[in-house]
Amino acid sequence: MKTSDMTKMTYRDAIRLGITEEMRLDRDVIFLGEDIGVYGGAFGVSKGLLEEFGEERILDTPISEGAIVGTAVGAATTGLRPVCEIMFMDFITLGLDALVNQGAKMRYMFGGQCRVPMVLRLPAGSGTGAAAQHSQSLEAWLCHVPGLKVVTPSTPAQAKGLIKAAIRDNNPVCFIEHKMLYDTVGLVPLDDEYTLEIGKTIVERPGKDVTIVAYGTTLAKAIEAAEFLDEEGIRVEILNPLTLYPMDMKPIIESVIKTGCLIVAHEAVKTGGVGGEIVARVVESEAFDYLTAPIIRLGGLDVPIPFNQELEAAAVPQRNDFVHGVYRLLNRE
Amino acid sequence: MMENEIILPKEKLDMVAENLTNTAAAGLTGTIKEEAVLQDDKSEADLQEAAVDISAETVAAIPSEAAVERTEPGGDIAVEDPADEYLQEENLEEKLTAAIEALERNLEQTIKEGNKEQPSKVLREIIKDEVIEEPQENPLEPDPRAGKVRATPAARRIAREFKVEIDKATGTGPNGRIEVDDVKKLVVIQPGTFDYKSKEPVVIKTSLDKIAGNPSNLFSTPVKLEEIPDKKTVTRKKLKDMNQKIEKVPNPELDFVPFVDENDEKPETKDADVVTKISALDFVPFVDLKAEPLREEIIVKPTPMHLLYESESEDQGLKNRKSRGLPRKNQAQDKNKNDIKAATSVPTVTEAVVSDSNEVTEVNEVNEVNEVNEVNEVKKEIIIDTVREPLRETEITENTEITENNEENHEEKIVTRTVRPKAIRKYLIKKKVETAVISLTTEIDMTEIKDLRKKITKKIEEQARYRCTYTDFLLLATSRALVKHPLINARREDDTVVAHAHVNMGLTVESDHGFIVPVIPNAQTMNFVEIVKSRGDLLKAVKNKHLSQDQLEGSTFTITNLGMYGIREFTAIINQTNSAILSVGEVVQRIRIHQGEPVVRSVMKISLNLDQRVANGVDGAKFLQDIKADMENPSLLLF
Repeated sequence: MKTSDMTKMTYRDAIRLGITEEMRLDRDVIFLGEDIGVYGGAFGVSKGLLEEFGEERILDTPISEGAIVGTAVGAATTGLRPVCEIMFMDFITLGLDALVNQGAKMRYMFGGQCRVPMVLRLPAGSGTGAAAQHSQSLEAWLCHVPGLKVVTPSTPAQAKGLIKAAIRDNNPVCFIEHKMLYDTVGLVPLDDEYTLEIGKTIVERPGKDVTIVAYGTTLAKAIEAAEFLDEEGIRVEILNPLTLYPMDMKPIIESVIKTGCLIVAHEAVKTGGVGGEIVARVVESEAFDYLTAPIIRLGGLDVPIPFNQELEAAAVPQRNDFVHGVYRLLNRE
Repeated sequence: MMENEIILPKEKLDMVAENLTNTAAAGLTGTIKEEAVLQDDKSEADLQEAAVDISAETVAAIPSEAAVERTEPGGDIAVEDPADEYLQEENLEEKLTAAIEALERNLEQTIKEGNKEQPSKVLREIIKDEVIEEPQENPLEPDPRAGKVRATPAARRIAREFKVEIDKATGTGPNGRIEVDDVKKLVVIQPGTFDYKSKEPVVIKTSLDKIAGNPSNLFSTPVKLEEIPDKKTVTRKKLKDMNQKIEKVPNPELDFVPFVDENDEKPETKDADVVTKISALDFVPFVDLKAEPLREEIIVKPTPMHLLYESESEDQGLKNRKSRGLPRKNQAQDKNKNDIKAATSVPTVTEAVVSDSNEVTEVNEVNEVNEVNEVNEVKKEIIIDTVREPLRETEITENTEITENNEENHEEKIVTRTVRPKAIRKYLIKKKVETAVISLTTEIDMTEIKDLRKKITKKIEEQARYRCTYTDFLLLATSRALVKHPLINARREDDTVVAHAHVNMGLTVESDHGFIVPVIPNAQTMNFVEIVKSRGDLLKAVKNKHLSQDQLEGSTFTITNLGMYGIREFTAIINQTNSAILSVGEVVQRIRIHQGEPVVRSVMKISLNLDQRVANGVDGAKFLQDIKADMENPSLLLF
């Protein structure tokens, strides 16, 4: 794609652009959530949408996640394409029944006679000093439910491509945004039809010595670490599984076969995290025979995210954790 | 009773049984019949059963009771026995104590011998008062790691693939973990039996003894392996970095000594450094005889001349002189613009040039600028020597370029030199000091290939979209031969030789940045069309500057070709990390004896420069023989 077809914008604007484009293209797309209309959303993602699309399609809802998700599931089964914003991912617990027991199962239970084309936007992650109830990364829960798709973009371009693909998808898609990424800037294609295929892992940075699988903010930290290690002659390959479920394991397995070393990182709590699943699948695969060192998982500590920002940073993987992890894999420590 | 069973060897059983019967008899005086019964039992070998049931309690504490028990089962059988009188005569007390002692002894013995097999619990019950309890009391939990090998999965896989016993490896990883390299050190493969199934490079049997220069090595030619001290060169480099002028002060002693002095630090240059200026476009090897090769462009480093052209080629000599003449002319007229033809004036002292160039080459090697510019450097240095001006980066390679040889140009060149990518610098030729090289040359009859090529060119062009050249045939033949001779397709690491499991064929090509070696990976798996295609793609990438870093890395063997410039035969410096390089000369028509008659045949000379420390001359010769066989019977290439 030519750079002339792209423009620099923030992650936040890229999501808004994706939703706007889809709402223009398809009259069935509606957007609902708490404070998304007049206020423009807790993080400002939906600013200006009310003016363009009106109250019929931009719905300010009561403070009830159960109501939002339930409405969305119902609307989706009757033919609309709802996009709903859960203000913080932590609040998804209130809407889980409608999502897990209804939204994710309907197509299966009704023998394929109905579909649930809905998108849940879930701002997740720590770093804002919002403490334990507003900083969690709960993607592993959602990945545990067959019938849901879970995607997580890490750059503005990916955000636009994935939100559009999610809206067009005929299944419930959980679109996990990281709050700390909202202000990151990147080139975003302006093409109306630019989408990213759901279920594709991409190579963010080619290398040959160590494979790192990371997403969200950990991806940026991994890239920082890779740049640091580059100066020492260590070439780190970084993969970004844009879709956490169903995950495309092939590039990861191929990369591990190439490098023999693997680090899997995410901000979510390590125990029961998605990283464990990735590691298990790698070990189950042919790549096992090519491992030259024990796999390293970098994840959040098994604690509630602290309020104190120093402690908050200490609870999730940082750049140095990657660097030391790589050293450990290569026996340099 | 059952749980107290002790299984005893048969002889002992008999003994115990006898004792038992004796005791029983002594205990129950007058019960002669029963005693007799026992005796009978014994004779019928039934006693074994009874003996097995001996419990320590019964025997040691209340022998008489035990005897009663023993005797009971046999009580029904009434048999007369003549031995009763004899028994009554004995002193019963003595007999009893003796029997008990014997029994105890037996038991002890049994316990000691059977210690390991018997559960401690039983033993304790048998001998309550004995103190054998401590060792068995707390059996240690066995260490789950005991007897296990600590190794990475990859190390295990390699051990499996090469059928190496992994427990023989010495682990160098954390906590003695066996790593991939540790296993590879165990893999020993005889040359010629190499199996290319694994993708891993392996170590081929070798040791320091095998390295050339060691007198015990049969095949080694006496090559001086003594390292020229690096320190000197390093300081030079530093000095030069600090002040460019330092190096440029001419040293008349060095410059004008016609022969290289023994004390001189320079290594003996054994092979020819031939460097050419070829544009990537022109890399169509084996130019047809009719076509005029671009002879003016040959630039030959003066030193190895005598090695280079062993025979004939007057015109070549002329050319060399021409190229050597260039700097002279340049020196004379310095920055004046000049036409090449004016430069026919031959340098006054050619000998001086030789020695001078030696000196200068050394400097070049220090600088790691050992490329095309080598020769230019030579010229440069000469210029500098005389002019004493920092014309460091003069690039006067092409005759046509010379006209633009003014100061502005110099500055430009300097800039381009400094920004030269690291990638290319990696491929600089290794210092000759570190290698012990032998050269082997053979002549290949190309007539059949020529015919074959005529026939298939069109077909191949349709499929591969590139014209096939003789190089493609040679690539195919070489990669097949390399599979058979892994030692040629190897690299040296300290005191081991690592043979590559794949043939990554490097081709020397001239690019804008100088001499580079793009690589055709996994050439051993390719058929002819694939080779034509990948070579074409590669050269196209060089031409369009689309070459990626990967395409420049990892060559395992190199082919260099100067045939298109009319070079019949030459040798080249081995590319770093390779162990050999194949130099390809021109295809010429010569009269050869073919099937008993002198006929005109197309022939080509190829030379192999081989690092003696990796493979010996015989290996190289066999390798060339295989190539020759394939090339002269191209139908063999089908198989």
